[in-house]
Amino acid sequence: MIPQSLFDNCAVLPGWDKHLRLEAWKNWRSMATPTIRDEAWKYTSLARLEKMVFSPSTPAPSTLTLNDIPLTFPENRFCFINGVFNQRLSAPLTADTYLLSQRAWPKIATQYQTAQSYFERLNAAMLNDGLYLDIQNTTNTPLYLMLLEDKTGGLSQHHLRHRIRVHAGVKSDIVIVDLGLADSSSLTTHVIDIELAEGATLNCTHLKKASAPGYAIRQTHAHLAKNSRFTHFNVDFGAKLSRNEIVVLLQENNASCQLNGLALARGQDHIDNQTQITHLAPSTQSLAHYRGMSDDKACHIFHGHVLVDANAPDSIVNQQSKNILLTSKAQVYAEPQLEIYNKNIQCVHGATVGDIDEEALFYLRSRGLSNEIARQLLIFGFARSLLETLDDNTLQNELAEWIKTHLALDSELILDCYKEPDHENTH
Amino acid sequence: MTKPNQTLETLLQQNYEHGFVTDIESDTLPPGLNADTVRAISAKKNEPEFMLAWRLKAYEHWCQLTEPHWAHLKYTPIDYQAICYYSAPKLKDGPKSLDEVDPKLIETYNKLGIPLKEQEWLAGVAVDAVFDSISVATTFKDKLNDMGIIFCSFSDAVQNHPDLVQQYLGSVVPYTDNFFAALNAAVFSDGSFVYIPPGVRCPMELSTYFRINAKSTGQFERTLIIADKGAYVSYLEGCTAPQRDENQLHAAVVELVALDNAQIKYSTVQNWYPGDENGVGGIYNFVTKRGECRGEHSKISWTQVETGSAITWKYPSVILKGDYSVGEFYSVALTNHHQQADTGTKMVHIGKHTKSTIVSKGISAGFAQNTYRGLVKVLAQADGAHNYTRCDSLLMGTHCGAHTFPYIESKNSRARIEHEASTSKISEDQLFYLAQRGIDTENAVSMIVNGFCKEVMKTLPMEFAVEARKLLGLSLEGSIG
Amino acid sequence: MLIINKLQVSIQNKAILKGIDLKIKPGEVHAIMGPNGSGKSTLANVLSGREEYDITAGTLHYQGVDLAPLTPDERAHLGLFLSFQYPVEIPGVSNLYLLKSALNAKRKHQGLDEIDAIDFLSVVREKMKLLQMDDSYLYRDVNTGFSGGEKKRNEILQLLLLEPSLCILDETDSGLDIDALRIVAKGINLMRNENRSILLITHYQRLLDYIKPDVVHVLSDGKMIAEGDYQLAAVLEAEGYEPFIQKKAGD
Repeated sequence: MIPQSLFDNCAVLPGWDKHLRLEAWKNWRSMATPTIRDEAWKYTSLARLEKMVFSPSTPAPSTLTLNDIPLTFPENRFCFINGVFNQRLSAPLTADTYLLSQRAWPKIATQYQTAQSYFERLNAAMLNDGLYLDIQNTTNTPLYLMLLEDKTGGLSQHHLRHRIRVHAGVKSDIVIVDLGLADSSSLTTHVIDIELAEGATLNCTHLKKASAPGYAIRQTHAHLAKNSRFTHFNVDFGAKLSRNEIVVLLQENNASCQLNGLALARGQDHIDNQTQITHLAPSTQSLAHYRGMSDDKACHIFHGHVLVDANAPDSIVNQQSKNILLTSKAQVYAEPQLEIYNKNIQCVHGATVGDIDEEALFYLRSRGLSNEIARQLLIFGFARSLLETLDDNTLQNELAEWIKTHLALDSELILDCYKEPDHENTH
Repeated sequence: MTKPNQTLETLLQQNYEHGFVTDIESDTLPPGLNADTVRAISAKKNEPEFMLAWRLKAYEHWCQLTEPHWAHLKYTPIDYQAICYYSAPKLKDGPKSLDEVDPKLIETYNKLGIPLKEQEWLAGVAVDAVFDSISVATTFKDKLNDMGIIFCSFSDAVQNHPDLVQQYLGSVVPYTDNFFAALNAAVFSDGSFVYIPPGVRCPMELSTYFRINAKSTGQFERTLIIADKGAYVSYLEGCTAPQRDENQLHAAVVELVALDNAQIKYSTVQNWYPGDENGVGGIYNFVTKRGECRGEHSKISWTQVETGSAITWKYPSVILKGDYSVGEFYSVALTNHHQQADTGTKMVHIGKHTKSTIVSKGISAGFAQNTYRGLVKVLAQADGAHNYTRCDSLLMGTHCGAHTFPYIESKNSRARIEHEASTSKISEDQLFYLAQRGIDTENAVSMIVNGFCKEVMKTLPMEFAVEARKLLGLSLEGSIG
Repeated sequence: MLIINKLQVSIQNKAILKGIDLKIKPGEVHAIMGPNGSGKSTLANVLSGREEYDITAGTLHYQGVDLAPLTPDERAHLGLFLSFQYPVEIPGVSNLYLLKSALNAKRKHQGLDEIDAIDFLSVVREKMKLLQMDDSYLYRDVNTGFSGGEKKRNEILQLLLLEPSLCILDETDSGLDIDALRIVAKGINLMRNENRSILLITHYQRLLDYIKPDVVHVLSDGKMIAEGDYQLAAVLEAEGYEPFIQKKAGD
């Protein structure tokens, strides 16, 4: 994947700890590439990836403008192009935010020594840039992290690592948007460490929008203190390989998390969603609800693991995975796993795989809708009903639009009937 | 909650009722495994050449494998060279009727509450009893013979029906399947063989009681059941083992073949020695059970009640090859003290409109770990396939664990798969309610657990259901804490 | 006019309807009553074109058109409407959207332009008022999280909006309290006119007190065993189905 020469010639960022980086490189080299014989990579083969050589990211001047971002323009934003922070496109930085620089580096580096997995080690060795967000006050508008890609030519690689700390009692919203290039073949690793202090709340929405981007491996680690709450909404529109690993540790009393995910895989997409939730303290709660759709020859994997420790009585666990397969060349793999070591808990989980609901199809057709339209509507409904868990209405509607486009649904057909009209108009 | 607990404490101390050793002279090979051991076993059994060749190939394959460790189990490593691979009770000429069977054996069965001698006319069940590794008594042979049904020990089948054995042996579980299946193929000593001819409905439940007896004897049975077109058979397997301090390995293989419109119902009550309350001793149970619905509209149904063994590694599976074939798996796995069970099933949908149902009830008490592991796989050509899975866990102790590892793989858009799971406990409200109605804790727990397992218990044949219910009560040992 | 001739229907090779004859003229209200499992809902589903039922013999014609080869949507465009016994929940699809697309599908079939959004809202609101439904219904997902009564009311709203010429109401009264029943009945009665036919399928006389049928049929074990006017319903309510079934068996 990355020969020694590329590592040696990789540009070193200011303030970089060369020793740590070399350690990380050795750690990565010492590890064999996971194969489908490894339980965690059972359905995702890295064989093709392993043979490719990705050149390091070069922070060349970019011609990208705000108009290239297909999103209602967020005020509060950090933009990265090809894995490197871009000042020009970014807008107000708060005082408590540090870029990967001499000041922020040690704060991000604390997580380095513990890098366990193959891609986390690679990320540690090849890191391009990152953010240290120290959120001390509740904000009303969401903070956007935009990951853009500019024409790079050939196979390139980007590696980002962020650390987000939310202080006690503070509430914050973060939206991370991966905007790959249509014909990209880049390799991206993206590690995010999240710490929530007592009573903190973080709503994180992670969107992966691209028509056919390359290979992306993302890891999110969240540590939750007492009474804190973490919500994560993962929307993936597919890639050659899109792997999302979300690891949540509910470390203290009454911490809770809600992990939702939507995977809309088409063409030859391969989406691999892995969630891992560990309940370590009493009265902790977790909810995971992942939905996947596989069309054409696409593949979607959901591997959900929930562990309830013996020290976590009165915990509540709910894990659901719903999947639709639209063709007989598409594939779905679902593994909703539970590991329970305490009897005083409430736990349910479920998984379904199937085609569109026949009952609902008949109902719509008996109301005069054609088979084609009724099917489209049901697919849209399947995706959209999960979006309702998002608090942010603007984002919700924006995403609904993306889904329509992505699924090539007839936009005329799927009218915008979801927003309640203004009150003047209603009466 | 303190008072009833004390009653339960006493229950908890209950010893393994079936723990004793019958003293019978054994014809035993020295411990250790190499190609010569395999040859010796084959020679002792006077097997035809194809059997020896097959065993040796299996042995060579086994030598290249390493023991699998993906299951949610922890145990001290097994020394395969310390195991004795053949042990047969000494029989001068072989019994022609029950009267010729060693009275000590009969006594053993009686202690176990299995009145072999009476079963013939009491329950209408034919018993092919395996004592250690060799079949010593088969009843009802004549009656079954008249219908063309073959029900005999595996050794007899090898001698008398080599064509059938050669045709079907290893056709569902090849020796290449896994580590334990390879080991079994190399060294299996005996087991049961059933063949039901086309259109015949076997008039009685066929039954084998297994016993593990001689010290340090790994038991390697092999069972092969073939239901020809339109045939039906219900087979019962029940197991109890005497108390022992060393861990014993048990690696059986069961193969079922159902041709067009045939049905096989296979029920197991497994009550081998689970080890003591400190986790010392007990059977290591590594079993490969698989059925193949080879014909259209065929059906294979597994029901298991697993209360014994220190370690259970067992996934009775169904390959649904024939169109419209049906696979079922109903399981109760109860683990207490330091028992560990990693059990479940595989349903592989190949044929069109194939249907499978999985109902798994895991009960975990004491320090036990109970894992459901199941695979539902739908291949691209299996249009209209349907699976329904329900896995429920009941946790009864403060140190136990209950785990669920389902694997769902679908490649067909017209297939439907539903999986549901839950975990629960026995609530104090339930116990209080029953106590108020005059039911003591022990009975209340037994009642609730039996209710929890009802869906599975009702699929067991009558005689077995009674035994299984008794076992659940016994194994519970009041683990409310 | 609906004409059912010697209809036999089975599902998975099990015969459910065993030779049914029924004629409903424009403007008539017919009620089909019968015990559980008699085949009432099967008849409703077969009329709407549900796929898993097999018509093994007999014919179904509506307005001179053979229904058998038509898909459910084609039948809807002919003017046939089924109010479901158990309306289906469709998460993620708003009620407003369903109403609008259903109405526009019908208009398109009639060669009319799509209805203007504002006109549509005023039409829908007018109908909703009749059924005492508030605006929030429009923005909720189709039947999702609705109570039994809300679902039935929602069915009638669709009925009022789509103005079908043949309304089949499958157990519309079940799950309704008296006030809701009155409102639903009012909605249905508003639809009565000389061109529209109504087929009520019910267990009880209750609904028929509000919507007086012209003809009452008794269906049992897949066959029509009695026919009469409104009075028949009262007799059934008083004596139960059993005497009729006995009598038929004695014939």
